Amino acid sequence: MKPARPALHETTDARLLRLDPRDNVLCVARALSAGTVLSVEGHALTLSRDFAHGDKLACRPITAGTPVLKYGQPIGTATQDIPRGEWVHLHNVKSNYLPTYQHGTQARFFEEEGGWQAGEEQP
Amino acid sequence: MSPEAPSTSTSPSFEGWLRADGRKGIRNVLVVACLVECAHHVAREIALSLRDRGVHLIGFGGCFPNAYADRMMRALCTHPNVGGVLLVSLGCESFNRTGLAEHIRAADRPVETLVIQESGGTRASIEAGQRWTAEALEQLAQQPRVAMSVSELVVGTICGGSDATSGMTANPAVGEAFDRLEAAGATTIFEETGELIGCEGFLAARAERPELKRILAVSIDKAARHYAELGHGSFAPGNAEGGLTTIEEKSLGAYSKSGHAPIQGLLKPADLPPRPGLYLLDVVPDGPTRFGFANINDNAEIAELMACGAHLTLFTTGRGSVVGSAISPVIKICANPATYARMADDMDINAGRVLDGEASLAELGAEIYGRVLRTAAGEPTASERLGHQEFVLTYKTSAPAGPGCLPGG
Repeated sequence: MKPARPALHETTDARLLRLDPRDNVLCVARALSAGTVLSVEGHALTLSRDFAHGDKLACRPITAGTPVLKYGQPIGTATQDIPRGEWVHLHNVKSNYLPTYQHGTQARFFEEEGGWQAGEEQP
Repeated sequence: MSPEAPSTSTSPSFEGWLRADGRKGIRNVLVVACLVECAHHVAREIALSLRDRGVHLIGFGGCFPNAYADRMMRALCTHPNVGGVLLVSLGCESFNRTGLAEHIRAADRPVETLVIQESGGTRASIEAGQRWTAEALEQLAQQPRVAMSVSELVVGTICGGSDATSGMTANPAVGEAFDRLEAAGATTIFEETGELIGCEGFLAARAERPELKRILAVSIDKAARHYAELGHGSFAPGNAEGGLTTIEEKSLGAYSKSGHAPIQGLLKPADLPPRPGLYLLDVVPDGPTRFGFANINDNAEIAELMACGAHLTLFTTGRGSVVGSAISPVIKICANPATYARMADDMDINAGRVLDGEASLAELGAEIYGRVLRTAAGEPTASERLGHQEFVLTYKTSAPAGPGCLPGG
């Protein structure tokens, strides 16, 4: 039985899991082989590589320097332009978190409400 | 999908036991509490002989005094799910048994203190304890139940035995259920600040008032230092192999259990939430790390949630945790369909169905919410049915919540 989803997601393959309407990545629910054709938000995509369960792929193009959104929150910043359908991981994302007790960065993202400023200097 | 009123097919009201402080319980447990390891055998023999009659064994094993353990035992022995208490003391341990008994008596519960060294030793103490407990159970059975609504529930959540599926299925589904509970006026609590490293900004954005923002961020910072001091890295190669890219992403997987409601305050163990809504429980010790890890296992975390009044715990697991808990039932939510296939009898909710396209996160959230109501109404969870009544309480140094941590405080 097909689960109910908002209209935006009716044309995304059920093997890709969306965690929040704001996300620009989807989670791969089950292993998918290179060459598999999937519908992602109405766009037909052919996977360029094998994907494992738990991998992420871009469901929208992500511009370099902009946030990668999962759970509706930034999980990092794209370090290069990421086309729709591309694998999203360590090779094209960097963490925004600085573990040396400088935790203001993410709070600023929300308090300013203007979102992330591309190319912003980290403190 | 915004939280809406619960469907009428699952009644949001049920019956509970009214306690002296106005709180209501969803169970009427008789607790046998050993006050040092030396009293454990006697306490266990008493409790096990009456295990099918709602008698639960808890206790503190240490002989040296500890303010945190004292505070925790007072809170747990007067938990709304607890109807009566038998304290079992060896006699020479330092636990303040008199203070604890007075505290329980003031909370209008039947209480008895058995001191093994004064009662004639093991055999006589077991017999005396069994006699008292059997009589107390008769008293508990007479205690009336009153109407109770979902808005009077306190629901905690933890994840244990997590794997890559936990952040994709069970945890976000609990977030959906937490949003529904909060919309219904209930109190919800999440914890494990050590799993929220990278989420400081996200937490701060949800603080219900400005002075709480910094308090929340500082609590995560404290956790990061604590785990670093104990040699625990926060992001490991195994995480990247499992598909996680950044520490924020890993922590968000755990953090998604909290849903989207504003955060009302920061609790310390045994703090009672002053008003409904969502709270973060700070489990990390204060000051220099004296006694080791914040919580040595999942049941130590559950003990702290219960001390804050949690009637039940939503427990997500990917790899297959089997534990339940004394006092407050555990609802086990399985994130991984392969684990569910192997261990279905131990699980209450099969959240892995999301990965098979058989359910949406919103539908799972509704299912969990319904299960909460049925559990509150008396339906045993899987771990209750299987007899799981784990309990862990260790030494800790925990300072009171400072100004600004709680609403109105």
